[in-house]
Amino acid sequence: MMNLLLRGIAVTAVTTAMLLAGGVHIADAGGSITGTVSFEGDAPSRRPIRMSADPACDAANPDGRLGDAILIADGKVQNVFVYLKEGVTGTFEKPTEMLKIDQKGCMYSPRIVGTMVGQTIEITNSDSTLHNVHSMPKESKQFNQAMPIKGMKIKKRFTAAEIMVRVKCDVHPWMAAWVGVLDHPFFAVSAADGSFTIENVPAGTYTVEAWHEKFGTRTASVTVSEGGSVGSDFSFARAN
Amino acid sequence: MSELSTGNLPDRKIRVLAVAALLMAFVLVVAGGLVTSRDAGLAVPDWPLSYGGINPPRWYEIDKVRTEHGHRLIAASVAVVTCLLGLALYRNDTRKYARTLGLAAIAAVLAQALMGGLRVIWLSLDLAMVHGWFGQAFFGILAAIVTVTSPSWVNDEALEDHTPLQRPGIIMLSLIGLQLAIGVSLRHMPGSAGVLGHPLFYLHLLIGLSILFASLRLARQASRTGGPAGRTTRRLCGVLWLQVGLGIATATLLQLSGQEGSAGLALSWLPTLHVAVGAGALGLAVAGLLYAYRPPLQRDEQLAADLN
Ligand code: HEM
Repeated sequence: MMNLLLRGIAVTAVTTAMLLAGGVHIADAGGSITGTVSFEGDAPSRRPIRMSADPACDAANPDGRLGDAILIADGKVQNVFVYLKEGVTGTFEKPTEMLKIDQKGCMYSPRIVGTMVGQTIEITNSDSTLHNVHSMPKESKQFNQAMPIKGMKIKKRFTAAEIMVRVKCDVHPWMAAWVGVLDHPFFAVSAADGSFTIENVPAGTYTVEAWHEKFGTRTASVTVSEGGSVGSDFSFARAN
Repeated sequence: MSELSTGNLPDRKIRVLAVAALLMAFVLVVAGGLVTSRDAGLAVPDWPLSYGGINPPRWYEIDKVRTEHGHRLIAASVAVVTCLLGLALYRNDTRKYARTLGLAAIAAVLAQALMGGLRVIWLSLDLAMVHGWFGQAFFGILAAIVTVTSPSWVNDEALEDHTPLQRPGIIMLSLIGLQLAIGVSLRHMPGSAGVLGHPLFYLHLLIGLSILFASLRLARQASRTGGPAGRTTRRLCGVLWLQVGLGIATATLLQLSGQEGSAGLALSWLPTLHVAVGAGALGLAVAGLLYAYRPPLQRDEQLAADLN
């Protein structure tokens, strides 16, 4: 009985020491960073995609399809990857759930995603045509995988942090996805109203970066307090 | 009917096979050039199978898959014809150099196919470059086989003195080989700076102008030389002038469009034509040089064969 008690105390002490020393973190405490990404000036118009290179893609989009690299509504920017660039210490467990990317209507869905190093990414082909998934990281090994059959799923993972990894289909050149690979879980992608929230951020001062595939990056410095919520808005304009 | 002795006209079947292989290889170079121009090289990500099968589903309906898989199918048929040709030469031709050329063609086509496949699997742009360059070299080997199996290789007319074409022929062949290697490299340069943004382009231009200059002298020399060496060299000069025109047109188009590798019709066909005519020039340069160096012992063997 005494033995068990002593062992329990020892385990608790070691775990506390590890957490204090910046060992394995469980990201469920801390504060949050919230904000909105806006666009100054007239938003560039979305151009229709020509999908005639593959009749099946044309058929999957009978009303046509607009490019989704730039999604701006009421001055708010969707699909901006916001993450903690500097200031994060310690190691973090990768999530056990899979990140899912679909190929549907000859487009990637979602187009902008974040993952942790080593996290499993499940890629599905929901189209009645063939795709190949070609990732182009510089820090991890590239892959280019055939996905000829509707319903086919493959599992992949990246082995090193990198902002951002481009994923493309060499058959349908308009298809693009971008994956932010990080060794911590503090990232978010802006929603249709431009809003984002990064949760469970340990108290501290950080550099936050907002990345957009066409407009580049913006950074800000924020200080997060335990249990608090700090605001950090970003604004993009047309690239010169 | 094995009357094939050194200097004798090889079996008609071999000649037909050789010409067929050369023509098919020309089509293959065009198909390969289109793969590069349309940036379709990785549209079929696996090899030797395509999307896990012999033919990917609906491959002929999907532009990039049709381009890449079509290149593979043509390559497979060229490989078969080349292997048949190489084996036929090795088994039936008594000339050592013809047998060697036959084996070289087999080795080259197999190496080229392997390189094409590894380029895809390894996602290697360097290998894509070497594959493009080696495709031209393979075409040169087939041109050599067609030359040494052609009727003009063994007829009397071929016995004229061609030595004045030897040195300028070697220089021209070297320049063309170098120019093709630079051209292929230029086609595989990443970036969207436009063709004028690549330093290699200026080297390509410089060597192009040297070839133009050298061809003027070569044409004068060839006009004084009769027989197949003179004739082939004159044809070569004509093709080179066409090639200079195609080069200027290609560079202008690429620069104006500012988007190398686009799928536009002219943008994919004009540079491809420039690549293919380049292969044609290499083939003619090889043939002209071989005629200029034709072994003099042919006549004795021809006479001996006639007497038998
Ligand atoms: C066996 C005879 C073959 C020949 C003579 C040949 C020839 C060529 C040529 C001339 C090019 C154009 C290079 C340029 O535009 O600069 C090319 C491109 C290409 N070939 Fe082949 N090829 C052969 C077989 C194959 C095979 C079996 C594959 C299988 C995958 C293949 C894959 C490719 C690819 C992917 C490219 C485009 C390279 C790029 O990405 O730009 N080739 N080939």
